[in-house]
Amino acid sequence: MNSRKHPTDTSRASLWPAPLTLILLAFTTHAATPLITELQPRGAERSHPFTLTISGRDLPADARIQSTLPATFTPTVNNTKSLTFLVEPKPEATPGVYPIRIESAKGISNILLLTLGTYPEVTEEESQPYSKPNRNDSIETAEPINQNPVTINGTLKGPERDVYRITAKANERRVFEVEARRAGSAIDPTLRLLDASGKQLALSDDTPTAGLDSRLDFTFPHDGNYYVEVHDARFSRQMQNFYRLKMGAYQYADTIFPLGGKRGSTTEVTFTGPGLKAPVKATADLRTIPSQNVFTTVALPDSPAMPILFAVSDLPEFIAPIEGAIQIPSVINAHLAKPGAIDRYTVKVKPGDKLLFELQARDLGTSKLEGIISIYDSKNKKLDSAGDKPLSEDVFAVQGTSRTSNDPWLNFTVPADTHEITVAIEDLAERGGPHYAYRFITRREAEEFQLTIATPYLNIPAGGTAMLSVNADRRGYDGPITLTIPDLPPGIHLNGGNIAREYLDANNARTINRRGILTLTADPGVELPKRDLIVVGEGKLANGSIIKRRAHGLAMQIDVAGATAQGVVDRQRSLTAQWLGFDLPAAISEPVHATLEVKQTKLIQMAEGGRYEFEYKWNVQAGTPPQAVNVDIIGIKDIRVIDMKSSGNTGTFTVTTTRATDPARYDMYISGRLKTDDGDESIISRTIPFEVTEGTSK
Amino acid sequence: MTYFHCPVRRASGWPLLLLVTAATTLTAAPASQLSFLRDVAPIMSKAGCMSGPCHGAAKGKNGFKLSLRGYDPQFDYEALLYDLAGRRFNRADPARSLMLAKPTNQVAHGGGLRFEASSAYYKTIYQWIAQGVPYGDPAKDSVTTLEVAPKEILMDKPGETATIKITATFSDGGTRDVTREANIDSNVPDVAAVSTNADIKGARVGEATLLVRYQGKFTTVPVTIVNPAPGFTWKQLSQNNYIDKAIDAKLQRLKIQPSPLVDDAGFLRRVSLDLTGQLPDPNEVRNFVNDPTKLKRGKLIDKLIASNAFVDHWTLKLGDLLQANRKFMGEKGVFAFDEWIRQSFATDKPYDKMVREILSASGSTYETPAANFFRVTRDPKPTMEATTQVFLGVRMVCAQCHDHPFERWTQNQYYEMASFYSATGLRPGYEVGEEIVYNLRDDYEMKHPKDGRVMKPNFIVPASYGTSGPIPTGAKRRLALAEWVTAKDNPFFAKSTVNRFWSYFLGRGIIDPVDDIRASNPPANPALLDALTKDFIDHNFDLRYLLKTITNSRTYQASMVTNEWNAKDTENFSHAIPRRLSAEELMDGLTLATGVRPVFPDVPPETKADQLPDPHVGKDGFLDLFGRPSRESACECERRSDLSLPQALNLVNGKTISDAVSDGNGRVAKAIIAGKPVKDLIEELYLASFGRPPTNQELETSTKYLSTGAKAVRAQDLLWALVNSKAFLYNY
Repeated sequence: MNSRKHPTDTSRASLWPAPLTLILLAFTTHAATPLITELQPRGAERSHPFTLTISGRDLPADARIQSTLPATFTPTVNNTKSLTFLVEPKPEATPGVYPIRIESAKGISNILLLTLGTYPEVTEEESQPYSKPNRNDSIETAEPINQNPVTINGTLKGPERDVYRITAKANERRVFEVEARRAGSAIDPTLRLLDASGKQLALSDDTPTAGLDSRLDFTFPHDGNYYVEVHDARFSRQMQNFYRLKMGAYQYADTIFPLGGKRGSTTEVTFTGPGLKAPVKATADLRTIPSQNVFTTVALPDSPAMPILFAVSDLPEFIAPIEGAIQIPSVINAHLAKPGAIDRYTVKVKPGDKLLFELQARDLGTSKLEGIISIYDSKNKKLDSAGDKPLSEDVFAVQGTSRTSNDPWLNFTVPADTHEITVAIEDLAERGGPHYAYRFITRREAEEFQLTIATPYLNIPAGGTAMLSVNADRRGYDGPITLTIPDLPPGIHLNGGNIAREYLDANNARTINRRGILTLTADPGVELPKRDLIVVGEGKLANGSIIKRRAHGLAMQIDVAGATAQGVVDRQRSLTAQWLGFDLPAAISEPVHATLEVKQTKLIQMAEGGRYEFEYKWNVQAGTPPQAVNVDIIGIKDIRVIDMKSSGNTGTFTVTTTRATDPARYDMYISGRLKTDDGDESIISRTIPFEVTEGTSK
Repeated sequence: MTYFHCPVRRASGWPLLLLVTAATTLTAAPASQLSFLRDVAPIMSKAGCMSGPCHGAAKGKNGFKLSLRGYDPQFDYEALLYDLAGRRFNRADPARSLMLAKPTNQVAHGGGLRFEASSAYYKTIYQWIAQGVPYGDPAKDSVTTLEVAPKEILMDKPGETATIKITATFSDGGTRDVTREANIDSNVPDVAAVSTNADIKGARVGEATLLVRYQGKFTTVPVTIVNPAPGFTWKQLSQNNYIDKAIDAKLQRLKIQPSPLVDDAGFLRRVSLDLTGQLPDPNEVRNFVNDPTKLKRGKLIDKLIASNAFVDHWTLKLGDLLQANRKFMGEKGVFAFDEWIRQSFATDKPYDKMVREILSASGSTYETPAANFFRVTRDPKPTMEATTQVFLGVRMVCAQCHDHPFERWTQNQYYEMASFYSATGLRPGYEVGEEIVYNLRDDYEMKHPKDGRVMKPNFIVPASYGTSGPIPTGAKRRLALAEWVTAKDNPFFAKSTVNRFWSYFLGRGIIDPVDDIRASNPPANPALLDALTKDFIDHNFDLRYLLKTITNSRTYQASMVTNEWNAKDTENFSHAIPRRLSAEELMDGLTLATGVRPVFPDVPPETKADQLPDPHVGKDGFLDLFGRPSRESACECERRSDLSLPQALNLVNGKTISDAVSDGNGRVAKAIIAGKPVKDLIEELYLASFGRPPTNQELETSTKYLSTGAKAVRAQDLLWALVNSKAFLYNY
């Protein structure tokens, strides 16, 4: 028996990638590329035209909006540095969340999300321009809200509360819902309902199918004033600090089943929830879902509630219960019926079979299941399991509370004399019920990896170089991965893309190689096609066959601030929007003021390792290059960068390896900050290969 | 008949040959021979060989290790017999044995002379060696009970003496006078002093407890020395409830006359601080003092207990106890846990239910905030220690390494109790900062550190759960512990709870320290503790009811002004004892007095110190200086109530007070701008700071001071002086 499971539970599943390095983003965004920092408003009522104000940096006056929102965007003139557009949603625009990006000759911007809702929209008084802070932080100073239904667009500026006064009748039912994380805000909202004395009547923090967002469904006991309070669960300070408080007597669902379906088909889904008198059935139309999308959304019919995420796969889909042995490959959709329930599936196998079992549940955002996968033989002897062990304490000590876990997966090689196994699915804390649905995925490959483009978008300066980063989630495949971008137009040069293998070193410790970089260099005058770039990774399996996987894009990256005080580390992961189905949006941007070249000049093999000598050269149109450059070799270990020397626009440095440096082909690039009259520019070189062979490392 | 029971050294692989040889030699010994268990171990214990500073130390002393206070005689015997290759004994010539040469200082001994060569102890050990160092038969030679006569000592005046006799009963039914060998300690030696020959001398008026120990058994003897001064006549004060009856019964016996009730203003200030952590504002003081109705104190208590400030205050108290701290729980975790505690108080959740929810919590720490409790200690052993200390007032920590020296808890019991948590695991959840508390599926048995045997879960004392069915041994064993801890007939749960909460109002527990309940730490008033415990259970562990009962008592409402009969009493609750305001009370009190609320980082403006979720907020500032606990220990003692030089310097020179006093939006500034007359201004400052109007003399002095300079500056000076005075800094 040979099995593998999460190498570390800190790696994020490909659906929700790990926090990205801001450094990488900085390298790909020189000073002149546009950056959106705020949209005003963050939402609008369906079918109602509105003015959208976009604030940010380096916003060109001739910018156009890119969005999937069916609407016309007409630029309007204003006297500020912001951009304003008159937005006219088309009749077919359905409620939901849409990306807003601007494009111009300066390149493309990041995206922020805009929500199209059903109810009339108002803006919190405190969030109006020039309003005093903390003006509605208590019952005494609560802002009256006289509309019903309504959506309030508010902001939480630092550790504060926003309190709204409403009037309700006895036995009146009303739903209060905060859209924050789902709408692209870094706020983790908490919602409280208070009576006139300040007594708490109801509280909601996290909500099934709404993730960290909040929802309350309350029937008022008597006529009178009530108070709705919104605050951040950690009273944190966020850059993206908005929320949308929706009130009304509407229907909503807090479960959906199944959690996903097969691309190219239609799937019947069932919604349930306390707001529904009976389960509601609807159809998820997956017939035209593009191949790069692993998500779509499904809405409860005739409800103003936000659509719910729905997974999409290309495998055969089944709904439990399953008669007899399960088919491989397949996706089984089920839920743990009650607390303590354990679902068991029979799998016919042959000795030596290599299988991959994966669970999708909590990572999807539509299930509360913290799953365990266990494998038993025909005598009910446990052969392996994933998702059920405490994590090692030493790592915990280092990472503090920032550690998270993902849905479990398990590589399994069938032992001798075994022809049937049972795979059991259960909840870590033995919970169950309607909120504990899952997708159990089986495949016949034991070697698998998934890729995520960690750079949400890319501006390639004309005549210059930009870099993107790709993260690999290895699920049994430990070999090298080669990244590439097919179908690049002439004049765009691709370099790099090597993710070195993983292996157990002499101390039986696993080397971690899960990141690769690609550099794209654009000749002057070249243009990019009007579509996302597609990033593909290839690996070679032990049997010689090739495994090829398409990388998924993040679409968006919203930083979420967390505690960093000594002893209290809550490193928060960034908010992304992979469900938008983006690959790598890219554009040609304005030229930078310099380029940077590097080349290897000498390799000296020594007993203790290799000595690699390099030259670099700045080609400066304007500005002052730094005295030294940064050197990065992706995934390598046990190296030193020494003897950095510079003279004018050229310089040299040396990289030494040791016996512990793993022989492989790595990617190296150098970078530096050029000082110009307009500020600093981050300049990077193309990547060049850094070859470590047996001769140079042993 | 064989008298020799040589225990086999566990897991040591000791050569069997030696044991056989010894056994062969000794089985022929005469029936009247001495034994280690019955004769020698008590001498070693009395001589201090097994004490902590000597060979009972964790690593022993000079290569010789004995069990602490002789809790493991088998281990001690083996150490004597086998260490140094058995060279401690010279059976052919016992006088040349190291076992005798060392304690008599005939060869160099780090512990010096323990007994003379001419002593009876020497002769006993000599004979024992000559007889072949027999261990004895645990079934016959172990002590089963220890009796002391008299059971209680009452002296009419200081200077009297009493003699006690200590009798041990052995497993075989035999008895022995062990007065000479037993260890006798007084918990208050300046009240009851113990001489080397077991005579007890009453040194001063008061109460003490003698702890008598002998061969792992112990018992206690209360000693009371009554005030002999002539002229005591008991004056019966009003009794508001059963608390006062129990208190009076004890006081009358001790000839202590309790103090009368504190005045209305003093009561308002005290009860406001104790129930809500807040000072009353000037209007509340005026209204209460001027209220002529007789039942106003009870009504005030009801009003305070129903207030939001009450919920805030007790959320803080319980947060201390449960160590709500983002260091352990993360940011969101600590806010969620704080909110869970708050709602538990706000909704009047019975305390047993609250504790049961904590101890049985599982799942996401975000969805089930009570589960955050397990993130503090994480491992089974410290979690068990925290559970018993916080919810039962029992400290088990000593028993991790050895049987508890002052209690009956054994090392086995420690691991049996810890076993309830051995299947409790924690694993990060999907959200940042979230953890899942769950039952381990495999490899969760608790093992004994000495021999690795599996320790099945078992309670230290039976309560309803323990007697109604078998204790589950599967992964869900923790649920049984939750039931047992909170059972009505758990002998510790309700008792420790009422004792702890009593201490919050009277300054000390009926058993003190409140989290160290043991036989050797008896209650000051057992009848009162029993009555409170029963009442608490009868009212379904209703904390509000308990606090209402305590605060309605005359005992709680007593003045701090003493009389000649109770001036020296510090243990029987005959008068109020001033207590320094806690850090949060001080900060919030300053807010009320100066009219300026400090802005704490990381929480909304207008947040009171009493409402802070954990000690991370405002860390290393004023609150920590004045003793706010860091919530890293389950001990009540973590909150400091001392008054130190740095505190005094901060009060006098620190920015917190000086800035608040002179704030442009503060009480003084507003009063000046409003044109408030000097007399009214002075009265307001006194009411806001002391919770009472100024006396005539205070008013006169203050008026004079304010009239000799700029009124605003002088008023600021006056306020600064008031908040620096004891009348502000203390609850009395």
